[in-house]
Amino acid sequence: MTGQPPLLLSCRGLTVSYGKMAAVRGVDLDIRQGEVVTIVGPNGAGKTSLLSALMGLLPCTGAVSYFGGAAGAPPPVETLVAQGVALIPETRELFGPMSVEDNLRLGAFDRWRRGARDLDAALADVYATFPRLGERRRQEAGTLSGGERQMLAMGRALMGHPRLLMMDEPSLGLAPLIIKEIFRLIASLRERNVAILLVEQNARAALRIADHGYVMETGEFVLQGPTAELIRNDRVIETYLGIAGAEPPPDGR
Amino acid sequence: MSTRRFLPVLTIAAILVAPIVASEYALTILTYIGLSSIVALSLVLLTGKGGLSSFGQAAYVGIGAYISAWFTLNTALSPWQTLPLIVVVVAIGAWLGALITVRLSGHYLPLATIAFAVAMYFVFGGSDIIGGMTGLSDLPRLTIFGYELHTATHSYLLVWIVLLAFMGGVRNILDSRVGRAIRALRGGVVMAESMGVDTIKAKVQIFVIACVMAAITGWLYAHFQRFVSPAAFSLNQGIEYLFMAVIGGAASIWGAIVGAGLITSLKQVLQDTLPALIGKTGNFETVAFGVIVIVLFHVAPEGLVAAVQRKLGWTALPGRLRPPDAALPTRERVAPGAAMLEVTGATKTFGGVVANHDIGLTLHAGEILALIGPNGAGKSTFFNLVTGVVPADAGTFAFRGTAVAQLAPRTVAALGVGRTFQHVRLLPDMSAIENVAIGAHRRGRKGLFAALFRLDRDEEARLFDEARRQLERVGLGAHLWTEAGALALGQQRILEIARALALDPQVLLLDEPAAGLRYKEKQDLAALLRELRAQGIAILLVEHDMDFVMKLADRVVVMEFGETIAEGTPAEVQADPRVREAYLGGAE
Amino acid sequence: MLVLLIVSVALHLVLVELGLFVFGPGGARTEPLIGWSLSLGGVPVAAQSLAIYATSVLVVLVLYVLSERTLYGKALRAAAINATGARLMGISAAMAGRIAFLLAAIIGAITGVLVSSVTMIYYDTGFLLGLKGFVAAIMGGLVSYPLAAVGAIGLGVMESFAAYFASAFKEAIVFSLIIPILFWRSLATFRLTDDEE
Repeated sequence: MTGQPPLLLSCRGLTVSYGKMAAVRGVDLDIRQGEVVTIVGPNGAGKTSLLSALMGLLPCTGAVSYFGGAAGAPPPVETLVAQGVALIPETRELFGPMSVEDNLRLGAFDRWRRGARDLDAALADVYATFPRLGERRRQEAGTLSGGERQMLAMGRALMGHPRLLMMDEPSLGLAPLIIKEIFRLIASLRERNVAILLVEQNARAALRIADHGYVMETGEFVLQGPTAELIRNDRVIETYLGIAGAEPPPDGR
Repeated sequence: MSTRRFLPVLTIAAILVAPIVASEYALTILTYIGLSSIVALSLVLLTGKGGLSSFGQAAYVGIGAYISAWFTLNTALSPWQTLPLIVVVVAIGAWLGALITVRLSGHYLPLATIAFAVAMYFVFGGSDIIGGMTGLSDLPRLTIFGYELHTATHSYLLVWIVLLAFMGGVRNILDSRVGRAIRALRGGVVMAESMGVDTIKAKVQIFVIACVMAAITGWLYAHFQRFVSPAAFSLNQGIEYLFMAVIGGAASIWGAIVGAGLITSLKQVLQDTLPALIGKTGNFETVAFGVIVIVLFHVAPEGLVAAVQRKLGWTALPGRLRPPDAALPTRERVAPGAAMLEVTGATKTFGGVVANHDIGLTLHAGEILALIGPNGAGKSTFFNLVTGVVPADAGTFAFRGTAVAQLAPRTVAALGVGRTFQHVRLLPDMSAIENVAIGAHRRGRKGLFAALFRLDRDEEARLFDEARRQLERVGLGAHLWTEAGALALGQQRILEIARALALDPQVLLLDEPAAGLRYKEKQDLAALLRELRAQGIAILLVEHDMDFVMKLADRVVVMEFGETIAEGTPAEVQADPRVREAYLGGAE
Repeated sequence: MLVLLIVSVALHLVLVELGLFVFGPGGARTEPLIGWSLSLGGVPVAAQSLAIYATSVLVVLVLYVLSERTLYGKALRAAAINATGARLMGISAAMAGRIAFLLAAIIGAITGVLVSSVTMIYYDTGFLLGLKGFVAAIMGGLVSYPLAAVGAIGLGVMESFAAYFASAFKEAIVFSLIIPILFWRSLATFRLTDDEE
């Protein structure tokens, strides 16, 4: 076990329930520094609930440990943000009536509040990574196209200099060319020493850039391992397209 | 259990017998409670059932009181003659006011009622012809057949009999087709309209009824107290009435009495004791009220009656079904294969995003068509276009060959299209059978008048029989009277389908019907849909569950990035390389 | 939603009645902060009135600058626009709410101090003033300080005209006019900002 990069996030037995319905059932997950970890699976598998719970947005049971700290229930969002965890949710949650630049500046709000004064430099960095945002810096966020919104969401998260970045379906509703660009950027984040937890429906692109993968189905991880292996696994394909002849899962789930 | 059924009868008996044992002072207090209860009851209907908050009821009480006061003092009219005058004037005025106010959304409505209440207070106070700030006094008492009602007992009985009559009336209204439409307002305008309910009309109806009730209370008040002044009809009083309704339980008819009784008695007690406690004179009981209301909202947010019911474990009682004398009229059967829904060129843009671009499809009778695609493909938007929830930027939508220009949820329902919702939209406190009966709204005719005087029993029997049939058809026959909120999610989804079937639809639009269901529930759902298909219904479903879709659908349409990329049988679509790309990954 | 409304009304009642308890039912009027007056084109203008105008402009300017130019101000706005998004940035929406209330209360208090020499103040004067102010804010769509200021001026002008022509009914007229304004505003605030699929 020595020589492995430190654990940034580790959870055991995470369960998220909506009333009597369990969206996530007893999930175990590890993310190490410098890794890109991906969770793939069809819609309704519980991926978004899992991310929301890990970010302290949803109540859950189970033990989660962040950056080697004590395991327990996830602390509130604001605490996690201060520790360097960021989430880009599926719905992006941008500030529509505010400008691109304001959205980005707010991404660094927590750091700024603690004394960071490098906002202009951070902005320049984001504009260098996403030139399109630089062109539209005064534009209202609500008027951007789908791909630009995703870029803004990513840029805003990066302004916070996170140590662990969680992304929920970055490819959502985007055209193939833009998806290529986005995934190239995600891969490059690794060089900035940002660990990434990537939840995706687009299995191929996700498995291609990740180191380690989990396949999620109806709240549980049904497969996991190095992505090089997963990418060749037929079961992954079946999970998505429901090939006739696949065995129905045992009753009572 | 039987004590529960007798409780209303016992209470009414107690009310009528009270004058024998109660002192004159107590009877006077009880009369005031009775008057307030009528206004609180109007708010139960308006706010509790209909979701329209109003702080202006006291102003309407004032209007009724002042009209009667002025006419009885200055003309030869007797109080009984001013009563119809009041009803007509207020009904017309409220109707006009309602047309404006019910279109106000969110917090604008209560604000408008506050503005109205304040404005009326100053009208009352500024008009010298009605006595300005001092008001009018020496108003005549009411007489019945020449006999003047001059004792406390007389007033008490009159007020409480009127109150009980109103309670019966409100109960009759709520327990009818119109009542279900009113209660559907709480489920959301989209849901109600999709079932064919005219939500604007329903809102106007309860607004007018509530205002007339308040005005009649004003009439009673004027001739009981024999004195009117603006202070009794101020905004503060309007706030107090709303508090009464809410404390008792805004959705409970008996709650009106509980709330009115509690606040009125508390007021009396506090008025007597507080000045001694604090050593100053003045009306400080309002502080106490404010604090009580705030505390109450933490402890019993649904009101006292509901809290007590829950403590006692009282759930809704099952109703009784009468066998109908005839069946409801049904639509003609359509030949399988007939084109039921034809969409061409559907386009919708939101801000900078093109959600739907030139989408077209045709749905035939006796087929199941599935619309699938990765997240973000535009399926929900398309569904919203077809169901009339969102207006399309471009495209034609034809039902049975007739193109429809302005699609709205109610026109869609009128065309014989039933639908379900992605996130179940049922009324959790209503029984399953009543929820389904909402779906049959357009198949009934009886309105407010018939409901009030129970002339609608035959039609109700037919509507409920239809609801029962649909519930049995989907396999929920054992849960007719179970509260919809107590059912499991899978059962609730099927309940929504039963509700859609109560429309007697030729087309069913289902939004992710399998979401969140267990394996067995999905099998049951699939079996039900196959049966409906065999009966000639055209079914369009949006789904994510591939397993479910591929085994069930006749044809599949695949969307991606707002466009259709493939169409065909499940086998064809599964083998299509573009579909695989779309789902598994579009990056080379 | 109704719960919030009722609780705030209850709180309003509590505070007003406490005011009655502490201050008594009588009215009061203070000496003006600035005593002199000028003559502008033959019209006497009290310096106090000028102070009120100046303060209003100052408050609007300060609020505008705070919300548009400082990061704290933007954070406050962001919390109102999207509470979840704000939390993800580490902005506590609850804290933002408290700060907003604090600012509003301070501004209200300053207003009270300024207006106390212009008119008779009773324990419940604040209610009518506040209500009219709220309507003016709605005319600004509840998002724009300058527009709200314009709305308030318009409302005040309406009230003055009403006072001149039908003084007994001036409040009735002003509050009746609020209803069509609310109606107009409720039509205008339909905004689709969702990320539709």
